[in-house]
Amino acid sequence: MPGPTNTLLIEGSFEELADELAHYIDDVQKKQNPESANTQAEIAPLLEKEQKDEALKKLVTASDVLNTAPEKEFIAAYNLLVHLIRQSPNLDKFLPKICQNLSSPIKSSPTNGPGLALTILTTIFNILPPDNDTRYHVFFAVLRVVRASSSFELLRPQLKSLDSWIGAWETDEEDQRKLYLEIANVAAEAGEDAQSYLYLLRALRTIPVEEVSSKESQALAVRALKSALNHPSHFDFQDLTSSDPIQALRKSDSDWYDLLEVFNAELLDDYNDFLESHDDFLSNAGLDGSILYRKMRLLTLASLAASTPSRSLPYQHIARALKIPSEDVEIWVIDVIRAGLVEGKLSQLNQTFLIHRSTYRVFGEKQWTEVQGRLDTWRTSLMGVLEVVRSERIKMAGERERELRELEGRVNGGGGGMGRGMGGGRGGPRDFDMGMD
Amino acid sequence: MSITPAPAATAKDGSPIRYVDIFDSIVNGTNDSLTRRSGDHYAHFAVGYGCGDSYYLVNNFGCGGTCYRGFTAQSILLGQAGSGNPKLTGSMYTSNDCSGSISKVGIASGQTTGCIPISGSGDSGKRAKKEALYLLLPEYLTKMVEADSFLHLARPLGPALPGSQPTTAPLNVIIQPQAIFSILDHSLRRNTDSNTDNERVIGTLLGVRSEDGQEVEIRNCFAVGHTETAEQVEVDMDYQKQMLQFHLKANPKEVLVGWYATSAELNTFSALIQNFYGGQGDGTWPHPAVHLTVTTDAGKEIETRTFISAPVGVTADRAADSAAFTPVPHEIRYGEAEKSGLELIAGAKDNKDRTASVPTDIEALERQIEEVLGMLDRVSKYVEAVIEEETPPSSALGQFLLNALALAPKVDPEDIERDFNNHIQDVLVVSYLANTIRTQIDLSNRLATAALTLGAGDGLGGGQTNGTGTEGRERGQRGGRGQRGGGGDRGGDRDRGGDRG
Repeated sequence: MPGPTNTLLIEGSFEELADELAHYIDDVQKKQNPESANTQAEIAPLLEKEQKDEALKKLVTASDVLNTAPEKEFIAAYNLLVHLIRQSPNLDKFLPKICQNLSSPIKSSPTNGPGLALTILTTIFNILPPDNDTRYHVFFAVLRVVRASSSFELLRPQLKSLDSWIGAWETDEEDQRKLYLEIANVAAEAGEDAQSYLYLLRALRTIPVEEVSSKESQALAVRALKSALNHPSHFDFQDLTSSDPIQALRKSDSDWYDLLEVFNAELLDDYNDFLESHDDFLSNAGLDGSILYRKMRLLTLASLAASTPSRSLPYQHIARALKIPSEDVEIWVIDVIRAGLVEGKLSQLNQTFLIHRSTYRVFGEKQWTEVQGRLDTWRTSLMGVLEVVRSERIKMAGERERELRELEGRVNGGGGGMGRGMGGGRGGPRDFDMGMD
Repeated sequence: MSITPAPAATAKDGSPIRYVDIFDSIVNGTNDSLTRRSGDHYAHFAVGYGCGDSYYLVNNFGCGGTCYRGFTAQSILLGQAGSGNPKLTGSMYTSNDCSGSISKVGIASGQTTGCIPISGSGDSGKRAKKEALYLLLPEYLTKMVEADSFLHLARPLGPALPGSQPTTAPLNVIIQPQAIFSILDHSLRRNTDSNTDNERVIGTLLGVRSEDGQEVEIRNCFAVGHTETAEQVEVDMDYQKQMLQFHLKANPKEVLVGWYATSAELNTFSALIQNFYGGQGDGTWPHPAVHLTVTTDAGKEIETRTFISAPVGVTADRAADSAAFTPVPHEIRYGEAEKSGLELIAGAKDNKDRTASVPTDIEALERQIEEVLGMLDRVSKYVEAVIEEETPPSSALGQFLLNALALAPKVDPEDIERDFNNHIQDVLVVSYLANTIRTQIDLSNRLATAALTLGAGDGLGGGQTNGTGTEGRERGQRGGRGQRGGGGDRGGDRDRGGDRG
């Protein structure tokens, strides 16, 4: 569904418009620095000789002064500049300079500056064809502005198109990684840890298998791991374990990998063992011990719930596994329910936790078979329902019809009889009339 | 049938034309062996307008165009594997070298076949001259057709109401289907035969703005007349103002939000109109005016786009007739009730008489169960593939499925049957009672009126004289035969009327 080819609509020849813009740039320049306001004079001869690119080069070079233009005129002036450079076959040459200008603060409008810059950058982004990889660089400039103005929440809804963009730009893996990392950084600065982790993970996935032992890959893997461990509400470590760079840590940084293993599938006891054998690991690695300990308890409870076939857990059992006093059990169960790992009911009377559903920390073949089994059960029961509904519909339709026919027949029969009766009634006078005649 | 060798030619789009003479193919048995380069495609040349009796079949022709001549078909059935785009198209021509276009034919969106009666419509002069059909299968794109790809982070800085800060917050547009329907309707009624080539029509959009101004909901619209020529555009402004006032009277909560046009192209006239709608006084100022474009090309998907605009140019004159359109995200949103209503209406599109019956509750239930079963099948297929290690498993998805399935109730068919029967019996009793009551009412009505007509007929019949009396009685009898109390009554009245005459 290609959009309209042109969204910047302005009438006038290139020369006229370029001249007007030069004039305007000079006007703005005069307020700052009257001596250097000679753009118009410079480009006039170039325009006469139809050296458009040379003229544009001058305009673009002089355009940094637009950052001091009044905010009301800023967009109009920049749009004109964009319109002019778009006509050049060497569009790519001018864009870096413009992006750089827009990334630097706009002096005339401290409050709306980032908004203004974003408006122009998105206009540039949008006028480029969707598969032009220059968009990638423009998007980077957008990220810079977003980062500087800490406005990640504006960008967030747009990120869902990122995959299709990357597909269209045919970005190679290294550039993809750069982009993902930049987004992760922007998100982290905006306090969006979950988003940041998501993009870290994606960056991790762009590392090809043969490079997993490189320094860069290791650093990135440890960073992703740390971010996952430190996040208070991130419980799924399976996608991390399946990633190649993380697997490579097994050789290079075995401690990190061991810790991940503990969080992925093991219990609190194993975690304590790990802590004993690695004394200062947590503090050296910059991990938050209390968050980790809490997470481990929640995960242990989830494992416990998942491995209970009878679907009911006595309080003492929980207290023992989590190493907590038995009066705290309910608080922990509520926490684990709130974390979305388990669903169930607490029975204070019987001192047991009745489990409705629990999360499997390792989702293996057995779980998949269970999914299939449940799907089949549902299917079969639904088929049964469908059968009943179908036969009832047919039966009902038949019955309705029969009823209706019967009723009709009765009404018609009765009504018909009456009609005849009335006819007869009126027939009487006629007979009588005829008799009179 | 003699065949003149056709001149080497290329179609308008540059693809070489192959010429195939169908008579020659059929009579001489020359094989129409076209190489197959993409999915299955065929064209049946058929006798009769309904694509019934196929006498010639072209199968699996490749990309590019082919010119078919010498056919006597009355209809052609075009078909392709899959309902995706781009579609196979055919064009009718008056001359046998595929020039002199008359009409274009194609496959409707979402369909895999299209039947085109080729001499059933159009004026007779053109019909007689229909000589050749040019079938064109566009190159199958390796990439998916590009969706609109744009970025919207900030709106152009606009003027602000006194006392509030100007904002560059992004904008989001929501469109109610009702507005789209009106626009399509307007497009269908446009004036196509006049000299002015008004390919697009325009109108005013009405709706509501959220308090922070970040969301605009288009709820309603009305058409505004305009004429466009190459040099100038005229919009009926007085009408627009009047109509807007009336609308605001009827719907005080709605405000002017922008305008629509039924063409995806933006041109300098668009800029002019946009500046008018976004302007001070009669426009949406200080809010941005939303421009909605809806494509209405027959046989193609309807594409909608929304824009707001920013000024361009550094002089006031330039800025007045130019605009930089900024695409903004939009969403066509409708509620559950509207959706089922629309689905029902959409069900009529495949019926020849354009009607659809309202399904009863139980039919709807049945259909929904079938839909759920379809979904279950899809999921089962995926799970099976995972178990057989054909698809990489996603533990997040598995976990999600398990959670969702934990909620699925287990229902025995016997239980359902029992519940159902109980319910059905209730329903039947109610309907039986209702019918009985209706019969009772009918009966008593008839008894009452019957007594009246009987009495009237008896009392008045005696004093009747010849001509008019007989006529009146005949009518009375006709009324009686109608088996309705009312009829009898009327008859009675006439009797009396006749008596008086």
